[in-house]
Formats: sequence, structure tokens, C-alpha cells
Amino acid sequence: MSEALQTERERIAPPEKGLPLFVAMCRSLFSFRKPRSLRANLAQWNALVLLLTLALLESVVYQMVTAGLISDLDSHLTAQATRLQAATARWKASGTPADLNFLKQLVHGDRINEFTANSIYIKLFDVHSGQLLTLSPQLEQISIPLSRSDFTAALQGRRVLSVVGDRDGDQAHTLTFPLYDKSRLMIAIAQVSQSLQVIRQVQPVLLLVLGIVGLLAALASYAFSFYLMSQELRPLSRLIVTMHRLSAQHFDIRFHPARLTVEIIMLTQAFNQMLDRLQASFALQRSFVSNVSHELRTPLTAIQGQIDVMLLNPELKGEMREDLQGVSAELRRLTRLVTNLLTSARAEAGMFPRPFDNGGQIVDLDALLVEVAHQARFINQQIRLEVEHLEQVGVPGEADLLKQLLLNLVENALTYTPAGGEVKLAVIRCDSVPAEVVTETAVRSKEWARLSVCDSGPGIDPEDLPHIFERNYRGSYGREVRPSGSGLGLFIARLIAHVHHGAITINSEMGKGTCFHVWLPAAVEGAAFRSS
Amino acid sequence: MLYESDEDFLFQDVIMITNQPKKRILVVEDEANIAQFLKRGLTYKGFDVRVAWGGEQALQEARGFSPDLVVLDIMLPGMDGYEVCRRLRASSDDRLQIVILTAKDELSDKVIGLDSGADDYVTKPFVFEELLARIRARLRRSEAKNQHARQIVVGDLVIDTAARQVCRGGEPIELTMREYDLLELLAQHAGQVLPKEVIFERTWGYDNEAGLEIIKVYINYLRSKLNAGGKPDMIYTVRGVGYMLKAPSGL
Repeated sequence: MSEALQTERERIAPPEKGLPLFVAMCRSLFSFRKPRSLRANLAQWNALVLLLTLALLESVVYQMVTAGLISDLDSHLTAQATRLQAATARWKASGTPADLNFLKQLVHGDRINEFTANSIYIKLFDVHSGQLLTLSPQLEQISIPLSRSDFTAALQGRRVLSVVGDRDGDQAHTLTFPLYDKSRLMIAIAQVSQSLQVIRQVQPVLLLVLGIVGLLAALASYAFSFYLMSQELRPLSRLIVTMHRLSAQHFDIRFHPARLTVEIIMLTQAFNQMLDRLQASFALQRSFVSNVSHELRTPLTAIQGQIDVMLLNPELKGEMREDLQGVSAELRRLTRLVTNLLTSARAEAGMFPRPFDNGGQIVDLDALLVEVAHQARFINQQIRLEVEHLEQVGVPGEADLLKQLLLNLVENALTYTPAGGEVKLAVIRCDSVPAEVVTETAVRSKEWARLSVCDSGPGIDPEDLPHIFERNYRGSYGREVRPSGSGLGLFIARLIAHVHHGAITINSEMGKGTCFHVWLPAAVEGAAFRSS
Repeated sequence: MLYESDEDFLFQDVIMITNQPKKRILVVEDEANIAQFLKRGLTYKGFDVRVAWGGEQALQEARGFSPDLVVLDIMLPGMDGYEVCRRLRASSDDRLQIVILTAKDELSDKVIGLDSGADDYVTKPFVFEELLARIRARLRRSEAKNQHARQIVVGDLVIDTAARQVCRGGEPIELTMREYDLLELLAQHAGQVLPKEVIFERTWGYDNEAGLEIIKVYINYLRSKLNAGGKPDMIYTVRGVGYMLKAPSGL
């Protein structure tokens, strides 16, 4: 696809791949204005669902990890307690007395080396008074007193697990239990404890990591969903572009989706059917207009011709001649109106005039202007119609259409100029055009022809000026002077100018007059005379 | 030639110009109303007119009548109008001019007519003087083609009518179609004053200028081209009457 076509396509339909897709993705993340993008919505829901699921999962993970770590710690405590008990039993069995020395040995616990983690501290209390007998040598300071309930429970022979915390928020687990000798005599109450500090340090890190991972996962999901949705919705984008390309002339486009998802198939089938109906409707409209066109032309030709020939007769004089001339003038006006109507109806049915089919012709504008001036001289006898300037210049196009254009402009000028005024016609060759013509026609031509129809009428109201070429538009002055006007003349004039790659500009001054200038690209000056 | 008064030479010229055999026109049209006004109008304007109602009849008439020009309505019952046109063209020489009457809107339909051998087309509905002008223009074309190649020499102006080329003092002059037509007409009647009405009718096909002063514009174009390089004027304006081409006095 060429560059221009690609960007045009992106303008119409959402982008599907590459950088534009990425840009669209980022934009849609942060845009909150309506309407929202479908893909963005779908991707967002996807990401949200993922986020919620992950949140749930992650909280479970978090809980489980924490609980696991703590229970791990507790089983360490329990294991230590069991070892202590076993050690006590062994030593007593070997006859060691239960004196302080012995106790001091006990609280040494396991040997510590560089690899030892999570130190467990041991404290031994007197069974009678609850006083501290001895403690692990590493412990320099006691922050946890022996609680009465733990002491009582241990005295009864139970092992008690407690959670203790201090003012700074540090926590530790303690396991309080009785120490027996071989003969089941309680020697002391032992308490082993371990700090939860490490676990408490791990927890926020875990939280952070889980949070970041969750967010990233959601973003990734959004991105992938967005991309995948774009692919799935590609047939939809193509549909949009195709629909843009449709016009009254191009109805042959039917849509055959490459990806066969059910919903897309149904959509395109409905679309194709609608196009079929539209095409049939237009065809009907076209044939109707063609038939009507032919039916109208025949009687108009017959009547016009019969009247024209009657007027050739010099015997016809006075009132009879005047009456007949009146009829002739009205008939010509009717013919112009019918021609305008037919052109308008054809344009609506998609049959725009095409002056360049089969190569087209070169129209001599000077000859055309003479024809038009001739034909228009009866429209308003009270106004002086003058050919002011005639340069010999030809333009590519269709003579009948350009004649229709000129007659519309001249009829306008002759109708809306008060009696006694004048209408001047001119055609000149020029090599430059005003800026507005360049923008309107988008055509580069070395030489241009300018047809001018200037009147000494009241001028066009600046309020009407921007609307004056609209179909059926009638300015207030126009409605005053000729209430039954159709408003079609100028619309058709501009249509014809456009299909000839030209434009119409207006110079108007209230109270002074109006000039309509028709700019048309001129034919390249070829041989001096064209052979007939 | 010397003339006693304005009226004298006008009268003489008019006789010379109209003292030509009537041109024959065959009208091929199936609508009675249209055929009727065409016959009446064209007859009134000095043509010898016959009417054919369909394709077959047209071909027959053409053989017998040998028209100079055919006005052919392209929408005929029976034989297709374009086919009639092709056959008419095939069965006659270059001299025959065919003008088709078409009610079709598409330019391509009109161009098909030209491709089938027509020389011009007029779209319905038309005003009679329009058709008349086209017919006269076409006849003038074929007349020019018909004449044996010859030169018209007026002073240092040389016109080659076959090639439609103009030289003055040995230097070629580029003229547009209409300028050439005008010059050739004046040259054919060199030394005579041609009234404006005659000029307008022969060159543009209309009966009168309707006060539009068109001829003056083209005469001036012609003058500027002919007199390029400081050459003396050859076209004389006769106030209130018309124009005359003459070698400038002294030559």
C-alpha cells in the first residue's frame, strides 16, 4: 500500500500495526473522553480481570508464605525444645547433678558458627519461684519477662507457644515448657524464643515484588490484548475503510472477510446485502432519470422549434409577434430550468457529468460566449447585454455543459439587475489565478481561461455570499425579485465548473454590482488552427 | 469595380453571394412535429429540404437526393441511429456533412456519434437559430474542402485554401480557425465591401450580430496579426456597412 493510501486509511479506521498501533495503545490508556475505543475497552477489562485475579492469588501467596515461614519458625522452636529435653534426660541419666553448672551447659544450646541462622535463645526459670536461673550467653538483655500464665501452664506440664511484642513493633515467638529429668522430676521451666524480625523484614519486600509483578502483568496483558483485539477487529477496520470509499459511483465493492469469525461474517453479509439494495435503488433512480430526461426533451424541442419557425415569418406582426416572443422567452426559461433539474437529479443519482470521457473535446470559449450572448438576448430586453472582451481561448471539456454554466450565470445577472442596467460578458486568457482558485481546484495549469459575467445590479449581501452556491439557496433579495426561483442555477454552475477542474469566484459590492468569474484550465496552445 | 452609391454595391454583392445553387439538406427524424418545423424553417432559410422518417428510408433518399448535409436524429425506431450514420458516411464522400440531434446526456454518447462519422452534434432541446448556425458552419467547411486547391492573392497576401495557410510578404501568419474563416471570406470578395450581416452569417452562421459587435473584435485580431511588423493595413472599415479587404493603395 502506498504511503498516502496508508495514512489516509489510518485517518479513517483505527490503526492495526506498527508504530501507530503503539501510539494508539498508549493514548487509549490515559484518555477518558468519550467515545472510548472498543479495543481499549476490551483490553482494559482483560487487564482488570487479570489484575483482580492476580491480586487474589497474590494475597493467598502472601498469606501462605508468611504462615509457612512462621510455622517453620515454630517447628524450629519445638525441635529445640525437644532437643533440650533429650539432652537433659541424657545427662541426668549419666549422673550429672542438676546444679547451676549443668544448667549453664544446657543454655549454650547448639554451637554457633558463621552459617548459623536465626538464633534461638534459651532461658531457664526456677520451678518454685519463677526466677530466672540462667540464660543463653548471647542474650545480653532481657526484654521478655516470663508471663504468669505461661509459667503456670508449664508447671502443669504443658508446652505453651506465645507471641510477644515490644513497643517498637518487634515480635518474637516463645515456647515455654517444663524440663524433666529421667525420673520425671521437673528440674526447671525452660523458655526458647526466636525473633520474627527476619520474617517481618521479608514481608514488605514480598509485598512490593508481588505488587510490581502484578502491575506489570496487567500492563503486559493490556498491551497484548490490545494488539490481539486489533488483529481480530481488522475486518472491522477494513469495513470502515471500504465504506468510506463507497460513493454513488462506486457501488461494486463487496466485502469478503479473510478471518472467518462468526460475528464478522454476519456483519459483512448484512453489509453486502445493504449495498445490493442501495445499488438497486440507485440503478432504479438512474433509469428513471434517463427516461424522464428523454421524455422531457422531445416535447420541448418540438414546441421550441415550432415557435422559432413561426417567428421567422415576417408576416407575423404587432401583438401576435409580441405574444409569441413572450411564449418563446418563457419556453427558453423553462428549458433552462428543466436542464438544471435534470443535471441536479442525475447528480443525486450518482451520475455526475463527465466532460472528459472518451478524450473529451476542446471548447472554444469565444465561440461559446457568442452563442450564449445570442441565446440570452431575449431574457431581459430592458438590460443591455454586451460582449466586452473576447480572447480566443479553448478549454478541454464539454460544450453543452459549459453553455449551461454560462446561461445560468447570465440568466441570474439578467434577472436580478434592475431595468436600465447592463450585463457584460468577457473571456480572457491568463497565466495566474487567485489563491482561492488554486485551493479549490487543486490543479496546476500553466494557462487559464477566465469567463466573466458582470452586472450593474445591487450586489450580493455579504451574509448570503458564503451560501450562494448551495443547492436551493435563495438570498432575501432573490426571493423578493423572483419568488419562484429554484435556487439551482448557481449550484449547477459550480458543479459544472468543478467537473471541468475549475472554480467560480465572486466580486461583489453592494450598490455597485457583481462579477462572477469562472476559472478553467486552458487547453495547451497547439497548432494555429484545428482541422475540422 | 466602381460603384455609384452605397446601395449599388450592396445590391451587386448580395446577388453575387446568393447566386449559388441551393444546398440540399436531408432531415432524418421520426417525430412529426420536429420534422415539420425543421423542414419549414430550413426551407425558409434557403435550403432544399427532404425528410426521411427512418434509417432505411434515409439511406434510400441519400442515394437519390445526394444531400450536402444530413440532420440525423440519433434516436430512431428500427435501425440504430449510429448505424445509420455509419452507413451514410460509408456510402458517400467526404463532402457530406452529418449533424446529429441527440437527447443523450453523457458526453460519451455524443462522442460515439462523432466516431460513427458525424461531423457535429446538437443536443435537444435546441433553439432553431443554433441549429441553423451549425448547419451553415458545416456547409462552409465542406465548401472549402470542395474547392479545388487554389490560392487567393491580394497584394502581398497569399492564402492557400487547401492547406488553410496564410502568408504575407513571404512570411507565414498563424491564425485561429475563426480568424482564417473571416479572412478567407473577405479575400474571396477582395475589393468588395461585405455587409456585416453577410459576414456574420457566413462566418458564425447567425443572421445578425444582435448588437454585440463581435465582428469588430475579430477584425481587430486579424488586423494585428496581418499588420505585424509594421505592414500597412489591408482591411478597410466602411462605417455603418461592413468591411473590405484590399491591397493597400500604392501596391
